[in-house]
Amino acid sequence: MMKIKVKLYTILEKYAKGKVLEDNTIILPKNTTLQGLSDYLNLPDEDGIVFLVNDLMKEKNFGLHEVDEVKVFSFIAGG
Amino acid sequence: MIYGYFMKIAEINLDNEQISYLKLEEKDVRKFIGGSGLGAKLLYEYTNHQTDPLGPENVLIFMTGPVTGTKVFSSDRFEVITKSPLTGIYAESDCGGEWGEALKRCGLDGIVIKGKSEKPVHIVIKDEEIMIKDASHLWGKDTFEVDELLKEEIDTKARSVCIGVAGERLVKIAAIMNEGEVGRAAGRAGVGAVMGSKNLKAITVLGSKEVEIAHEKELNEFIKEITPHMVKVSERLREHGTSRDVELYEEIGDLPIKNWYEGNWKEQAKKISGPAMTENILTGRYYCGRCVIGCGREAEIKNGPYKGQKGAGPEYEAIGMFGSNCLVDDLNVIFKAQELCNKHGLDSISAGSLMSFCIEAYERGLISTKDTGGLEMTWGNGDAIIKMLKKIAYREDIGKLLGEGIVKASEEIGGNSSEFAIHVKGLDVPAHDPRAKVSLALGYATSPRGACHVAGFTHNLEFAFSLPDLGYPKTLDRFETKGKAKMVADMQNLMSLFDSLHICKFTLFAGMSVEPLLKSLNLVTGWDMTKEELLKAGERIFNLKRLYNVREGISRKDDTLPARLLMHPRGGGSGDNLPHLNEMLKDYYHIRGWDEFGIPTKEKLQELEIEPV
Repeated sequence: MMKIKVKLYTILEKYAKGKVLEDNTIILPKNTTLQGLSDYLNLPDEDGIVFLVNDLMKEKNFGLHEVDEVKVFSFIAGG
Repeated sequence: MIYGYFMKIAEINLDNEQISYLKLEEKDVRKFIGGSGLGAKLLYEYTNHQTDPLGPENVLIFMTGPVTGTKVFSSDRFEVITKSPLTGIYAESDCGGEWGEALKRCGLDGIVIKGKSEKPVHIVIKDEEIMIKDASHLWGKDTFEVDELLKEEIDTKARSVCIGVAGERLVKIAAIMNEGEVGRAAGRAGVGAVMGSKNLKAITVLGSKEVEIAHEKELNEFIKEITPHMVKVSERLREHGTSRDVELYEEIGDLPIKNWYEGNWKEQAKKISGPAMTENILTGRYYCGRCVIGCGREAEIKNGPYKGQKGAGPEYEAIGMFGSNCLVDDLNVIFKAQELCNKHGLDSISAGSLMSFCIEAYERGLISTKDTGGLEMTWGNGDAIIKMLKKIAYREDIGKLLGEGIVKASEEIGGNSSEFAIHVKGLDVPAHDPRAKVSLALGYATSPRGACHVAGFTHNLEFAFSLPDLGYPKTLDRFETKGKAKMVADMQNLMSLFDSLHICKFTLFAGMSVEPLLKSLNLVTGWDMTKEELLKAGERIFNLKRLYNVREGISRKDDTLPARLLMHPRGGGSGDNLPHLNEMLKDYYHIRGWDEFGIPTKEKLQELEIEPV
């Protein structure tokens, strides 16, 4: 298992409930991908969900590592 | 019968108060669609390189599109087209609200204002009746007061556009405002100053005509079919407005910070984000006519020096330009700055840009309190910004110079100020950083009106979005140069169609992509236009605007960005990335069929059936 940090922004915050601890940590099996994280959190599978791992944008097949920090945004084109 | 159009444009000459009508031809509406397409054609024919933008010879054009006044989503918009007093080149500015539909219901596809009145006037259009009225009682009043007064004078159902004191005083970043305190704006490129130069304070419209639709039943069924998806997808924009992603933009290096110099501003960005607005000052949401998104904010300040202020909450652009770019992390100050722009009729992007420019000039010792009327223009000084905005609108102290635009201000201030005057062709750069999404560099360099993020709206395809029916099934790498020239050209052609039809661009990524757009147009008009013909029309319109600018002397030398955006790595979320503009530009000219100087070739113009004047 590995411990990573996950922060969900704006309307995605609700998906953290009961799954992400108060200090934004989450424990997942080793080598979990962003897709695996998305499935675990039950995030909606739609355009506009953006994952930043250690502040760099990554695709869903990216494999996570211990102490990675993941930020998840629901982005929509705008002004 | 041409469905979707009235095939009629009113020409109102303020020199002699004569009104005539231009009858449109089907071949022209099919080639240039409407909105900024037909508007650009008229501007190209009615003005030339000797036209003084603030002289009576300039024309001010208001255009609707074929879907305005129908049930097509977010179609109650209009476009203002003129020659810009700020840049000296082609200008267009798009606006929401309900004025566009109200104009079309008068049986008009658009109006062209010519000449100059000797005294302040107000145009009233009620169905087929056009009146030119004295406006001396409106002159000097702010846009909120004017909107209310005109509702009392004309009709509560009437809709008005007007200028504030900035437009009256020919401030070159003046906007044309709509919907009073709701604050919808045709903001960019100084269109409000052109209206002011004609002594035209307001235009009120009230119509009762119905737009005839070729296949109304099928259109209604189509709208009903796609509505649930559009409502669902746009939920995120409705909840927190255009500023919902401020924190994300800071994370990825898209948010301008300290006049485009710095890379990190995390904690402060959170304080001025859309969710912070929702939590602290939001009181409601505003929907333009026929809109299902509702990105507009209604807000009220509940404490502090601006307590009690109500009105249109700040948009993302105001938050980026007055907030992070000036290091102001107080949402109430940004709200107040936006309100002043709306009230006095100023473009909030250019006004914000001038603030960060002025602050940097002050901090670097190029100007002092002697110039600023005693204001200490320092980073984060919100109170000074609020006061300086009034000085711009009323042309006081250095506000008079700033109101001439960033190029003139930089020339007068001198020193190395041109290094931090962030504009393209004289139009201030909006709050999206080309170092974070490199297509923006090419988009800003080649947009017909100068730096503009919505002329191409390309940056979304470099970040989390795709557009399969335009040939982009996957999101492109935001730092990659390869492939961007074609994407920018394709998106500029598509956006030219949005500006011509005339539909809100926010609908694009909520489902209104190429095929639904085409279907809507064909159902409204009864045409059998193909996707190729539609996109060709977009390409034609974009090239015509370029041709206008070429006639004004624009060429490759002007298709560039400020050194700060091309050479200074900002750090933060875009790290040391810089856009390779020249490489993209070379590919772009080739793809566009333009020569090495950026001028459309004869062959390209023949292919597009454009006849140069």
